[in-house]
Amino acid sequence: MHAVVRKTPPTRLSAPYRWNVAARFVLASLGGFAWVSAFGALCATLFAQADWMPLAQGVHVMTLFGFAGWCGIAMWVFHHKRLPIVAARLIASTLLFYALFQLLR
Amino acid sequence: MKANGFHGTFRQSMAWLHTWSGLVLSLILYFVFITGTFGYFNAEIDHWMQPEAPGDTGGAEDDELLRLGLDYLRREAPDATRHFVALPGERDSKLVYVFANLQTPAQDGSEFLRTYLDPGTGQPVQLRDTGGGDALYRMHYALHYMPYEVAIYIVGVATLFMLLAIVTGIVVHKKIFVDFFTLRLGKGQRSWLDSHNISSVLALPFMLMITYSGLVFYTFDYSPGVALLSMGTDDATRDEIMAAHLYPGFERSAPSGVAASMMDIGTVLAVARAHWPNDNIRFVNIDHPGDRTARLRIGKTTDSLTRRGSNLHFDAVTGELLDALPPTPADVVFADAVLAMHEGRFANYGLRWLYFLSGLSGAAMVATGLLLWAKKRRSRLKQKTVAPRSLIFIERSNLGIIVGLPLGIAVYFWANRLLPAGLEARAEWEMHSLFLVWALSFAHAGARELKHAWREQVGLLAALFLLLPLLNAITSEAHLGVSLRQGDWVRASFDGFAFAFGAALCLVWRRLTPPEAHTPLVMASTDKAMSRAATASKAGV
Repeated sequence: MHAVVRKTPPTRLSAPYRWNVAARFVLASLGGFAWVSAFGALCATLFAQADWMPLAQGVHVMTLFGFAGWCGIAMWVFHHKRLPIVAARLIASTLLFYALFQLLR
Repeated sequence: MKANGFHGTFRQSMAWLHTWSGLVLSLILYFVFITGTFGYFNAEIDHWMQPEAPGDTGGAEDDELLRLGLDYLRREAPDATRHFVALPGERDSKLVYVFANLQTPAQDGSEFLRTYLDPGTGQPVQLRDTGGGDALYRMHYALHYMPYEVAIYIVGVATLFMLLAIVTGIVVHKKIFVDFFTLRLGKGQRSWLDSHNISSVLALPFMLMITYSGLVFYTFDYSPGVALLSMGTDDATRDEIMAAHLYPGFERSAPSGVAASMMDIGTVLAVARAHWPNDNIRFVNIDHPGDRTARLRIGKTTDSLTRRGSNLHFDAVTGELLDALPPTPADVVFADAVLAMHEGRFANYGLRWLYFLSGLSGAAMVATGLLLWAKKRRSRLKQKTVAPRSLIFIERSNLGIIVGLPLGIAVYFWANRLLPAGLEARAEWEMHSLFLVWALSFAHAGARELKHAWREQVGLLAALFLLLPLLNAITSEAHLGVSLRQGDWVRASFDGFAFAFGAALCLVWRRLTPPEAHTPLVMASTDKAMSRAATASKAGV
């Protein structure tokens, strides 16, 4: 993973570096989408159960916020030094949100 | 700041992400910015591209025009499930637009009747088949030559990349205020960076708004996850729940099958005018006309960020004003306002021009970003003799992207005037001409020496816009002299803008290095050769 920690990418990009970027792209796009969906669904359900707003409104609000959330996830994924940690944290938190959502609904 | 990220510090990582998220789909982003920017004047472009359309209503009042439209629909589509009549606005051709949903398809298989009526005669106007400004506007989200469902996702992904590029661009900027006032011309790569910064920072609030609101248009298409998890995978149920939330009180009445005569439109208009003393009526919509349960909706020109209060609902048989809509939830008001800001629905001409310039600024941001990226790569190659093929490809593509698309649009306007009026699928041929010229621009950029190609394409673009008013004068009865005399400021402004834009491009063309300026390179090498020869001679070689 030596190529990954360079401040500036080398002129000729190594294969591990390319794979790292590709993996981060998949994590940011699909992982970010899954994270935002699970977190949004959990919040929408929470809001509805706490009588703060109807479920449809919660879903709309969380979907509207989701774009900004996805943007934040993508930035974090492409900043963090170590890819395995990024993947582990993203997947674990998504699963946690999903499990909580299933418990609450 | 500690260099503990993927590419060093947080800012360095974001700079990398900014470059690539902006670059990867830049072709689509540039296309969306340019066509969307023209979309702010879609009605005006429509008007120019249909010179047969009258520039005034001949003094007819709104009531007369609405009656004229409704009478036409009652006569031509008596069994329709919906009648719709729109009055001409200040931006449109002065025609009455009529639309009906037909119960039984027409002879040509169409399920709709839609046409424009002459305000004087009440008869359909024979207008040339053209895509107009609406086709340009539609392309900024639906692209072309591909299914709508595919196109909106391509544009959606590009918009997400754009959002990421803007947010990371803000993070990368250390001196956002200073950049606002910094433009160092004639400094090569530095000048392009300054131009990129200025075009981005100048319209930053617009960029953020236009990008985010672009996503809001297709909220549940681009991000269906929350709704899918919360409401299940049954599309019909989910749509029903969300529609009830997003459009409260919007319920279509079912037809009773009992015939009834419709209320005189004058009575309804009087009530509407009492509600909106300072606004113009924009349209009348009747669901199930001729039925006992017919509902009439009347709308006004909107100058507000929300749609609330811009429609009134009536019983179309009794003329009774029906209950006002239930309160709109805050999130729906927010989404409405965001969408209205994107479209500039409420904008007067001053604000519309600001939208237009901001849109061009967005296109300039993408264009300067592309040029800057190529310049950076080129500057790193100073010691090498041959640039990699990828860089050459990108440098040449940049010309095709940046100048090629406006060239295509200019030819689109020319095609509107030059294609035979009776040509089959004429509107589609206008569009083919746009894409054909765009493709030729790429081919030209690939075939010619790049500096020559820039100069030639910018020169051609300048000429096409500069001569557009002349072409209009030769090929139509609605040239600048006529439109100015008639007070048709929309057409006159189009011609004026085309001329001014062409003139401005002439200045750009003049600034682009003329071919003669390359000779010093040859002279320099000749000088060196002579100097070497002299040295060799002195040394007695």
